[in-house]
Amino acid sequence: MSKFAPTVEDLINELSKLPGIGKKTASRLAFHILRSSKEDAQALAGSILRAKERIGLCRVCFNIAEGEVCGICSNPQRDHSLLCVVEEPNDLMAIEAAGVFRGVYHVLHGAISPLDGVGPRQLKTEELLQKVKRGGITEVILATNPTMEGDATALYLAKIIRPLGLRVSRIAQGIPVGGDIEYVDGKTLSMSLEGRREM
Amino acid sequence: MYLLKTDAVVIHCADFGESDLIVTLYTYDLGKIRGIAKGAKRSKKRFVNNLQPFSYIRIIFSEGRGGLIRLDQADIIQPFFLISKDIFKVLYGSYFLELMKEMTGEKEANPQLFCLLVDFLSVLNDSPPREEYLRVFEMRVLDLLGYRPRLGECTICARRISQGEGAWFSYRHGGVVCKGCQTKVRGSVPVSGATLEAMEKALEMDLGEVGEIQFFPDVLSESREILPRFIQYQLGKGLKSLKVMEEIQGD
Ligand SMILES: [Zn+2]
Ligand SMILES: [Zn+2]
Repeated sequence: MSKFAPTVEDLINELSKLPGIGKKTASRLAFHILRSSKEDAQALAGSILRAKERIGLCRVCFNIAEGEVCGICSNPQRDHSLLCVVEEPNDLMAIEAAGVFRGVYHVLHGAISPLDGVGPRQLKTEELLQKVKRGGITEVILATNPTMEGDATALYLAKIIRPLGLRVSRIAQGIPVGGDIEYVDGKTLSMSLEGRREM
Repeated sequence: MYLLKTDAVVIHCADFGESDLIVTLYTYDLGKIRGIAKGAKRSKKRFVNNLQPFSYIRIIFSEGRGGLIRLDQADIIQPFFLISKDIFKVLYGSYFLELMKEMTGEKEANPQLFCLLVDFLSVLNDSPPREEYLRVFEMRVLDLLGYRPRLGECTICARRISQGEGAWFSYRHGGVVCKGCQTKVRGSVPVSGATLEAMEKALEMDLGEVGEIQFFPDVLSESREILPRFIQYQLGKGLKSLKVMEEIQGD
């Protein structure tokens, strides 16, 4: 026996499919939508549909894009010889938000994860290799996460890109700003010492 | 709420909501367990980065709901972080972890198996990655879990297979079959005397010598054919890390 009318139940079900949304939150959202004006509800439904119709992946870097090529790839002001490889579009957005990188990106859409059965072929690695082989790139910066999966992905990519004679680097791993050495793990400490700089 | 303590190896770690982690551990006292580390993605103090796969840790926890434990603290005993500096070490180590994950049941303690895992992660951390480790590990895990393949005599007629003599390996019979019985067994594969010897030796050798172990190429390829397939036959399913390993080895 359901508590609500089938249409309401249906809306709650759909909303609870969203990440981080449980049944409770879903019903709160559903009742918010039911209370709001018809225009607001239409605007929400419309923007979901429009995003779905218009947004795809940039065919150059596989970032989320409106249109064939994203704003970064089509920008002549960016340094197209510097390629930064990230796991997910979120990582790209974080680097962009910092506003410190002037090169271009390649989004893998995941990381190698042996226990989850995710190998290179399930990621945009072949596309990366083809792009690098076409030329014009002088350095590939691997900005994968400092996790086992991110490490494995960086090691694999370095292994396949290095023979092409390009510079391959990985972003430094170390103690976060505002962090406390006392609470930093051994791996991070060792990486920080390896990556130390002359002052 | 009772706080308990045990030693553990991290098998798997994934995000759970915005700030928690869900981990699968192989522990000394409880075998395989799954648990939630509340706030682990944010807390710098309680977990640091100690919940990455391969980490050998000491945990403080309490029994939680639905069979999940609640991790309270994780202190590093040995991070084995040299494993994540070599792609083959990562692949081999992942295979060790997946075997523990798939071949053991939750809360079935097996301290010997726990020590075996820690020993092999140490070897992998400290020595160059060799495929031979996988074969020795497989034999030992099969042995400790009661699936030790019968290699010395025919599993059908019990005829002794003398040293150096080849035979056929039958996945269904869990061991070798002799030349006479082989014709009656479908799907058995030929196995050389040298490979049978290497498989026996894998069970008896001192683990201190594993770092230097080296099989002849044909022994390596024959045992690579037989053991992972035997394990997957026992499990009734494929192993994910093997698939990824084959994919990367091919590149
Ligand atoms: Zn793009
Ligand atoms: Zn026989």
